[in-house]
Amino acid sequence: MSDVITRTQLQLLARLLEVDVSEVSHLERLGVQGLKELRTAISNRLFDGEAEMFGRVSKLAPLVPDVVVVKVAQAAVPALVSGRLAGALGLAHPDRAVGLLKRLRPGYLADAAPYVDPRAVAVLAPMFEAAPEALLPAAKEMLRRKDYATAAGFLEFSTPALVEAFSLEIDDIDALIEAVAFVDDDGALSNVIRHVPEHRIREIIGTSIDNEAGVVAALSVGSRIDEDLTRRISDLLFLEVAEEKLLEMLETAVRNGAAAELVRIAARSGERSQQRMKELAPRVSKKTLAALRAEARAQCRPDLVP
Amino acid sequence: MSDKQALSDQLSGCAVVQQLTEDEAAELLAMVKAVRRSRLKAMFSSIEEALGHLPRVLRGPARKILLG
Repeated sequence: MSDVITRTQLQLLARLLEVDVSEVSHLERLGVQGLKELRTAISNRLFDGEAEMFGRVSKLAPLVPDVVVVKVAQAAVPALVSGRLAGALGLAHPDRAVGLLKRLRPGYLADAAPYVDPRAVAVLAPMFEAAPEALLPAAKEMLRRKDYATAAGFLEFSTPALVEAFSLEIDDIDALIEAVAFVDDDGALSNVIRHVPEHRIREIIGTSIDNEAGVVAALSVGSRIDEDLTRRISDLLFLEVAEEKLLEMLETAVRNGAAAELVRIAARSGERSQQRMKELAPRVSKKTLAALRAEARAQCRPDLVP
Repeated sequence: MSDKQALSDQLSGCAVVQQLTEDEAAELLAMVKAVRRSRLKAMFSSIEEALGHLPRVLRGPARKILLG
């Protein structure tokens, strides 16, 4: 999963610079945080350089009613330009942001979303707390397209109320957990998970455990969040999920290179969850057991996989 | 001034720039310059297109505000 996130950072940098990803792929060595810092600095530079033009467009707002803005934007303005403008316009006219988003087509919003200034997303997010329905259709469209990196960018800045609304209203749990796994900042990821209601976490575990991508994404999330959260979630996993599904999860984790994440979660789990892990481990295939043992030793917890 | 220093200045002293080679910094600097031009071009062409879709009565004042 960490490789996927690094590749995603390269793709986001390439998209920002309007070049093919092969032109920046040699920067992979900077790592997720380095690439993100570089992209953020370039993004800030570009948006700051366009502030004067954004200011002019913003002055038009009082002249043009919402219905005309929507019609003209969708007919004549490429979504990437609308996306770039959206942050500045939203900050200058916050009273119109919710109304406009409700009128724009979800497909157009999903097209524009990757191009919004992330700094504006953080400031504008609280305005949508009372009206998550203005964002939900576009969020669902982004997940339908598997544009998890963009969805994660918005999740990272979502308020607790918005996280709760998204987690409850988005039906596609497989896509939801994948998008959550793309949140690259561990602190932000913990903030997201902390505000998902427990019954929904139970449903997410129950669904994602049935598919490989879901297991890998969930293990990535579980191993990166704050320790108290890992413990809470691992108890829901190890103590409530059926034995045969847990055995399959151990196999899936190893098959997909996620043994380290699994052992990290087990190491942070409560006593009863660790006991369950110890009971289950000897029952997996020899190959899986060997991989889990090696990982447990590497993390100085050989007792977890006897 | 080296390309690395120029890029660092453009990016408000972003620390990651120090991990780049001179060649990498030069390439990135050129990419940033090119994308700035490309974004402005896209913005102006969208504005022209949007003006044509505005109700007639708004076009004059809007053009004046946008393009001076």
